[in-house]
Amino acid sequence: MLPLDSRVQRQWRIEAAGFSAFAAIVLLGAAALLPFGIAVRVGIAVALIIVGAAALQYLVGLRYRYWRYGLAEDVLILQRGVWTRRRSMTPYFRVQNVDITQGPLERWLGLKRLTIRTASAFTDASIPGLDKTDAENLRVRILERAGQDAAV
Amino acid sequence: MSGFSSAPAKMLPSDAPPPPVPAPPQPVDWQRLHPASPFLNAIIIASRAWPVFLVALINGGSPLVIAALLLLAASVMLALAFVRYLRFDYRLEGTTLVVRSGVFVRTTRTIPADRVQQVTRNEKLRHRLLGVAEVLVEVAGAGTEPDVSLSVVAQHEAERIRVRLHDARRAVGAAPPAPDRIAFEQPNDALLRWAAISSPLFMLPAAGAVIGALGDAVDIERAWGWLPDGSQLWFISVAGLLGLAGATAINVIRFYELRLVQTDDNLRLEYGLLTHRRLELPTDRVQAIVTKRSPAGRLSRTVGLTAHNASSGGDATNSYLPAVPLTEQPSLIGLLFPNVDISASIEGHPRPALRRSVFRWTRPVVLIVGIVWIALRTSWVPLLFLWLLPAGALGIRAWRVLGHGENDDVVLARRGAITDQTVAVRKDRVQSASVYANWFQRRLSLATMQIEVAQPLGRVVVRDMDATEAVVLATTLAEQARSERPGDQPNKHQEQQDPLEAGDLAPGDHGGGSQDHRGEHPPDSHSVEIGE
Repeated sequence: MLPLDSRVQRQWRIEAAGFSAFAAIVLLGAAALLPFGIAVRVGIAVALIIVGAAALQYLVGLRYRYWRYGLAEDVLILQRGVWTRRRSMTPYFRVQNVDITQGPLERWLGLKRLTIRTASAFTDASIPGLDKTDAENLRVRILERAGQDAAV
Repeated sequence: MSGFSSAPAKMLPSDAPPPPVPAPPQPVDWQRLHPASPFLNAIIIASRAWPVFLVALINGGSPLVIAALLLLAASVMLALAFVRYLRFDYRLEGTTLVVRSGVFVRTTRTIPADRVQQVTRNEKLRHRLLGVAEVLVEVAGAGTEPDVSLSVVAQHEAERIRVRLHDARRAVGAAPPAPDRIAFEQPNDALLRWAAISSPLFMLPAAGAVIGALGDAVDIERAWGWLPDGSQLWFISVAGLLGLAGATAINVIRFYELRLVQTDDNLRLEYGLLTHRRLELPTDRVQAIVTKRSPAGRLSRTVGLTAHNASSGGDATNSYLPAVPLTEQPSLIGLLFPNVDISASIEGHPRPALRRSVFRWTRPVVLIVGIVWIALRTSWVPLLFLWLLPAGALGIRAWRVLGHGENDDVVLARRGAITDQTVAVRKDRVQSASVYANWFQRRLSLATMQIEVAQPLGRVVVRDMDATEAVVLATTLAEQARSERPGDQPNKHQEQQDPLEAGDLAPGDHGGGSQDHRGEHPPDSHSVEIGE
């Protein structure tokens, strides 16, 4: 079982920071409605923002530490999750297509996301934070094993 | 993505002689739909716009202007429908359906018969008046490919398309088709009983009792004051009876004369009084059967059966048999799932799952009543916590029903509190499998298994299994999905393979490590270095 590329943490941290900034604006706006003095209101909002942002940043580390993927003989295994831990197994020969996507942050960091699709919409086989060459190699390896059988 | 159209060869035995080709692919003329189609389609679209005109009328628009607008809209719709009709044609090239459509952007869809999941023929009342039918061709895939709808063609043409697409599915060179045979006919009494009991208005007396109990809160006098004295009870009874009869009639009309016809190698489901439906049900494509026992079903001694195949997401209730008498259930499942053994004993789930089940059912009561209490602060509100008793009872029953089982062919998953539902999934139709467990579940050594199958069923969830068992079963399912027929397991050796550190989801299994999920050490810290 392999970990993700450690650079993905930077991607997640930036995403978390962006979310925190958005939440901060909402919280400051909501604080204006509280029936306290201005100092108390801002104090509460700032405290919540700091705690929330710190918690999100801490979660990034945890999330990374629990992310594993591996190619077994017949199945692709993904394991992840901090609160809800999840392990999914997707047989290669059920693969209908393999998508590789790259957002702007990922492009900057040199990462790619690989997603496998089967005939079920509930198949959850998407690996974020792969080094871009790793992602291409993985795609080739998966498609090699996917073989020639009809998947449905 | 029709990337898998290499499949037709699979249907023939490899050493079979070259197919005698019953219908050689000769150039055929492109065919248009029935000339009535633009009119039918325009009427349907126009009929959806009536609220606009109603609103205009209410707001004081002049009836003449509105009528003119209506006429204009109708003629535009008709013109559009007519253009679309002119730009839509199809032909059968051998057993391949080719459809060209699109007014500006032309699309040509080629559908080889072996990619067809299901052919549905709908005859709504308006279709039957005109002697036409709507043909719906469902194509395999994960919702990426839409169904092809031929709306509408003449009835004999619908039959020709159905036969052609269907014949191709039969192994070429097989014996001539056996005559059709009615395999199951919905008994009228069972349908009527089920329809009457399952109509929501059956709950009317219960609702009346609740209202009566809350008598003080609801001002009945005001609600019924406009009726002459003494007639209120009559009014309620008659209205209730009429409603009951109406709801029953709707159910009966919808599933009227439902029957399963065994054709040569297929099943065909037919039903409906006003809208008559005919569905080809290729039984080799059925991936799961869902059996439902509702309170109504229990009272009428029937079960509801749904056969799920892999289609691009048409109406999943299409292959639904609502009221199968209990006595007929085994033989029907045998028909829908030929050569599939579904006899497996269903085992209940571990005792800790009971706690979660009761909690799941009582939690909403606690939440809602709690909020109401905080909001109203009235003294009688805590009495509402009595709802915890039935909720808890349902939670206990849900745990008793909860269970799963397996044999070589299928996995069975049973759940439900009020309506029990058992799903039988063919193991060789499993697309992927996963296991998940949240912190609470891990503390109790429980896990939820999810079996992913092709759309539209999508997935089957087995809640709160023993964690180790869940991981082992999910792994086996994913690894054995390959075997072409259930029962033969070419990859026996894989069971000896490392069960993928099954303990990760079952902390109870590696030595009382129920405190190990705080992030101090990751799932397999021995194999990788962390935090460099």
